[in-house]
Amino acid sequence: MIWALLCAHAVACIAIVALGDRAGRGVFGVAAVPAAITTVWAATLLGGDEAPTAQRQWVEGLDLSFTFAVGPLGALMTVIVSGIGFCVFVYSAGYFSAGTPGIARFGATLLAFSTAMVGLVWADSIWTLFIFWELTSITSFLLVGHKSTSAANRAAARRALLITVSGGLALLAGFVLVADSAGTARLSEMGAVDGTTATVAAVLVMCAAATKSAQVPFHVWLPGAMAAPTPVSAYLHSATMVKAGVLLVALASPVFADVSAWTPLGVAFGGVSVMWGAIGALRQHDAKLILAWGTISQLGLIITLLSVGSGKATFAAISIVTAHAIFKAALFMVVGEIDIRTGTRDIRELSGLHRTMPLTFAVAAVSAASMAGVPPLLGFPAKEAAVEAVLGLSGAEQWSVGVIVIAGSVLTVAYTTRFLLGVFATNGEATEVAAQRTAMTAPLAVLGALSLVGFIFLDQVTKIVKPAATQVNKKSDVYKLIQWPGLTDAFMISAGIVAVGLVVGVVVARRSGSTPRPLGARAVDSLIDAVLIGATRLTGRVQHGSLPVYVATMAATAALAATPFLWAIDTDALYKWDSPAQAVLAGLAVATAITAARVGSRLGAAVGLGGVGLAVSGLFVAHGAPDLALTQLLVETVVVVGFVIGLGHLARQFPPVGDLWRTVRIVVSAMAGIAVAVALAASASNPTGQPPLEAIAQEGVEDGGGNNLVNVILTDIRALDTLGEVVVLLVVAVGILALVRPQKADSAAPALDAEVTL
Amino acid sequence: MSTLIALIIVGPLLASAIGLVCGSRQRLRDVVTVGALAGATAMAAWLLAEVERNGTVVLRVGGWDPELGVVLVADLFAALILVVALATILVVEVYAIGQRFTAWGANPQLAGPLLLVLTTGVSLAILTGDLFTLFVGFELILVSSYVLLTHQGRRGQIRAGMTYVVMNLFASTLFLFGVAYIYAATGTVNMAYLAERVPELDQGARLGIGLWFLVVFGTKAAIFPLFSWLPDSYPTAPTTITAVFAGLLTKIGVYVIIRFHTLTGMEDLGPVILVVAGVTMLVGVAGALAQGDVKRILSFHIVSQIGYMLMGLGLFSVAGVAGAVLFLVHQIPIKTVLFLVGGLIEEETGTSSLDKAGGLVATAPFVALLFALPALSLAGLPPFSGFVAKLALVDAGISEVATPIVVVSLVASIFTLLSMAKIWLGVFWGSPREDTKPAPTAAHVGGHRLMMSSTALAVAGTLVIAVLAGPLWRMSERAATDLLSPEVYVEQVLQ
Repeated sequence: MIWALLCAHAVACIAIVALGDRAGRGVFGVAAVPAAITTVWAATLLGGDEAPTAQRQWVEGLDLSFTFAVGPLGALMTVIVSGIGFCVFVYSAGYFSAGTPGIARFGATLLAFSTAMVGLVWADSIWTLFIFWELTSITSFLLVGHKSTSAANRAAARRALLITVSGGLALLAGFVLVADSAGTARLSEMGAVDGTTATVAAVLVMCAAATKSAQVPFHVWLPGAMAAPTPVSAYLHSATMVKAGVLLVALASPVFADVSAWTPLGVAFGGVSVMWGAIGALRQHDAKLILAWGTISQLGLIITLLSVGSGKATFAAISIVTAHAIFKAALFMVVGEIDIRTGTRDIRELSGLHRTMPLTFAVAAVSAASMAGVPPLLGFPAKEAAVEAVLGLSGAEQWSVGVIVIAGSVLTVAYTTRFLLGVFATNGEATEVAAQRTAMTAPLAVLGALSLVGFIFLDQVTKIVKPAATQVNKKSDVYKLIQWPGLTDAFMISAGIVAVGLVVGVVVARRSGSTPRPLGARAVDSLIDAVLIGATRLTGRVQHGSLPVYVATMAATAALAATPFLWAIDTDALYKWDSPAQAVLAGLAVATAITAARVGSRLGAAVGLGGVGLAVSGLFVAHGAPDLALTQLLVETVVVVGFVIGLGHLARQFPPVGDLWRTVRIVVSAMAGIAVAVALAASASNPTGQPPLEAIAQEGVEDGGGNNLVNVILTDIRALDTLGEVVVLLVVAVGILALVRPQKADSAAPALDAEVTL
Repeated sequence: MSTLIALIIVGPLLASAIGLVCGSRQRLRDVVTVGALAGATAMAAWLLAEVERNGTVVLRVGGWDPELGVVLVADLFAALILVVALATILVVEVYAIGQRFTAWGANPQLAGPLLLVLTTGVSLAILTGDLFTLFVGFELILVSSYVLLTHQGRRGQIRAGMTYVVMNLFASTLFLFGVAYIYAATGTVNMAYLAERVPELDQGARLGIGLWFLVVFGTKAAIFPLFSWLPDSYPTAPTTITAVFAGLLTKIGVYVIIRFHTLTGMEDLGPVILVVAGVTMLVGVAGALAQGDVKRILSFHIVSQIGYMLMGLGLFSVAGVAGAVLFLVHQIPIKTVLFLVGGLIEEETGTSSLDKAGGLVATAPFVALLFALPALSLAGLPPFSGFVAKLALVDAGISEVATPIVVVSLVASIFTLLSMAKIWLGVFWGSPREDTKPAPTAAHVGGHRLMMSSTALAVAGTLVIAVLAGPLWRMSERAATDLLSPEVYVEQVLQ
């Protein structure tokens, strides 16, 4: 069934691409089908003991596989992902108008994200999880930048991509270390690990989760991601993708239970995010940004609770995940609808919507109240569980987590109040509102109602949440969500939170300061720009385009590479010369070489090089190889003639060279020359083998059938090399022809043909 | 079976000769060229199957004893890379036939035949068991690529060609010096004998030889600090030619480094190679980030990615070398495909400059898809082949506790993604510029379709590599095991 569902997603995706924009809003209908089927399937698993699995090897040697196991947590997450996905697809059909260009691309990408997300929540192998994790980052990038004609949107997409993928790389390293310590890649088989490796892995995994779940300081991509169309914000950036980090922390917490750094790190990330996110939400004027910052805060709360690791805290965390997905998706859809029907999301411009958009207001009020933790809504028992969890802790942990939960909740109530007042209250003249679109209203009404229904059927919710929490933490087994706890300490604290929060919210809502500047986002963008500028500077240094510098670099590198030869020269094994004539000729070669380098005229240098060649031919003669010497002489002659012809087109003198550069060139040349001499002396010092001269002499005559051994070598023993070099010459000839007679399309073809066949 | 080796070398050469003399009969030339490449690819595949089943195939050229003559050796590593290389050239040739009808095409009379000479050089360099024949193979590659680079006679090409040819000829000279050292020190240029005799040398001479050849082959492979010729010259050539260069030439350099330095037991150079690998990754990717042109970005990426393969080698463990082998298999087609897509971008927008192009995701969504898949693979994102290769290297690096290089490789891959995002933002997103697009002609449309379909085929090929990553990894591991035990090679060649 797992494979079938994944295939259904893929088929629907391909169908949308095939249909293209001409299908208009129908693409969302196609996309909704696999989401609906998956939701129903996962709903049947909720609360049950059945955990379907599926496996397919990919690269066995690296333990890469597609391994899925849909446990209670997976089933719950699937219902959230696919269920909200279904609502979002329906909603999108209302959000977009029929003729929107790129609607099919949008639908296909959104469905691809949905596929990646279900793959992620089903994963039982860390590598399966990683694969889908990265896929969600990529699809998120594409969706954030969907309206790509705006430069700001493109920058936001790039920022989101870089932060989440950097997190992905931390995750990659962390997972390699985890697999190394635990000896398996299967999450279900992984025991607790400890030690230095495990600590490094834990830090890496936590950082990865923090990038995905937009925890401070990695949160800066999330507000920017609000550039995406609102269905994307509702789906990816509130209800599902940002929960991937939470899921990762949940799945990893039993593995890192023994790593002492795990809890403090998670509480630190979460705690700072709770506060900073809520403060951000209080400062924004764009309703969507208020919600986005609120998401940062809420995710911080969940991560704090999960990292604490007590049974009650885990239970509370999973409860909040569920409640949050429902109310946050609904709230985003509310904002999207307002945006479409009024043309603005700025709370300073909106007015009187509670009257003009009553249904939307009702949904918003219910969902916002759930977010604030007010009964009788699902958010209330979840928040109660969190407060209970704090009361169950002790010592410093109780204090730190307690401050985070209580202060965070107060601020949550405050920004919720401000949101409701800002968006819906009457504030001057009523905003004009366009006609209702059923496709948008229906899903948000359903999601709004769910917050209430969830509270009414709280026992059923407990039956779903408890096994999911128990999968993460065995000790969560004993807890349940309570509708009406009575006047317990926790309830009193909750009541206090709501009261204080309301006051703060009302006060803040009346003030309208200037819009805060996105400092974090700018910092990231300037970091990226700094990297780009640094790269440009570095490249300017390295890649300056001067051929002489490249040659000098290469010669110097080669000279350095020859350094080890210095230790291998065995002066006893070497002798000076076979005959003194060699010394004279060698001296001549060196002298002409130096002259060639020193003369200022090009012709003089060419003649000097010819002189080097002559001296070398002399060395061949002295060594008893007159035929080689003859060949060399011929080559030298041709080369000098070639130089003389070619030099006619150039200035007579070399261009002048600065002193420093001249010194560098002299030093590098000398180094290279010495290096070659040293290397040859070292190589000849203690050979470990001798050329098979006798065998060549014997077999060359017998099998090769020739007395001139050089000829036998060239034409028989190493005939392949000769063939190759002949082809080299031919190609050079062809190349020269091509350059001498530049082609003019096909008209010049016969001419070239004639030349080549000569 | 050794006949296959001979045919793979000689077949394209013969076809090249036919191509040069068939004058204006362009269709005949196309048929011969594609036929020869397809034949060579098929034979290479057959050879790979044979090697996989029955072990290394050795051809003694002219029947001479290995002590005297030349041997060509197809072991698993060679056969695997050979198949990938030849298949890649084949696809590019088909694309080139399509591109001929556009303003960006190369001269067809020369490009086909020269590509075949280049193919022979590549096959020879891969298959040879002889250091001097390797030199000849490099010469064939160098001279044919130089002519391919400059044959259109454009000013920028001639200037870039100068840098290219001078640097590479200098490397050839150093190569010859190296052959001289080796012959003086061991009395042989046969690689099997070298595997026996080089490790017996004095430490100094041994390391000297290892470093010297790292410089020689490193220039071909474009490692730091010897890579400067590459980004200056590659972007100037016609797309098809750059695509072949990008996919193959530097990779042959890496192939030879892996071959030579494992065979001669250069484990001691591991740390040096790792340092070079890390710097190459970073400097290369920095270059890519600095560019504002698709082809130039991709050219710098060639350099950067070389670092990854060297990283695998530098670890000198089976896992590391296997990672390098897999990376090579992944990188040859990926790099080529990206350049082919670069050609499609030029086709669609009339430019490869990020500032001038834009909005292709709306006007040419299929090109966007063809770019996105290999680009993600290049950046090492799952579920593509680049991810498997990168994971293998990171895994190997962590097991060898080579933390610095692992960190560098991960940082470099973030930058890789950033530069791919740069192309995506510049070319595919934003507003389309209609005015830059040239008006298509009838022949142009047909050629365009051929370019599209061959690129699509190549992209599909890279996906197949991802799907077959399991078996390919097994093969890479076997190849790496053989590479790290040179006695296997020696025995197979000398028996």
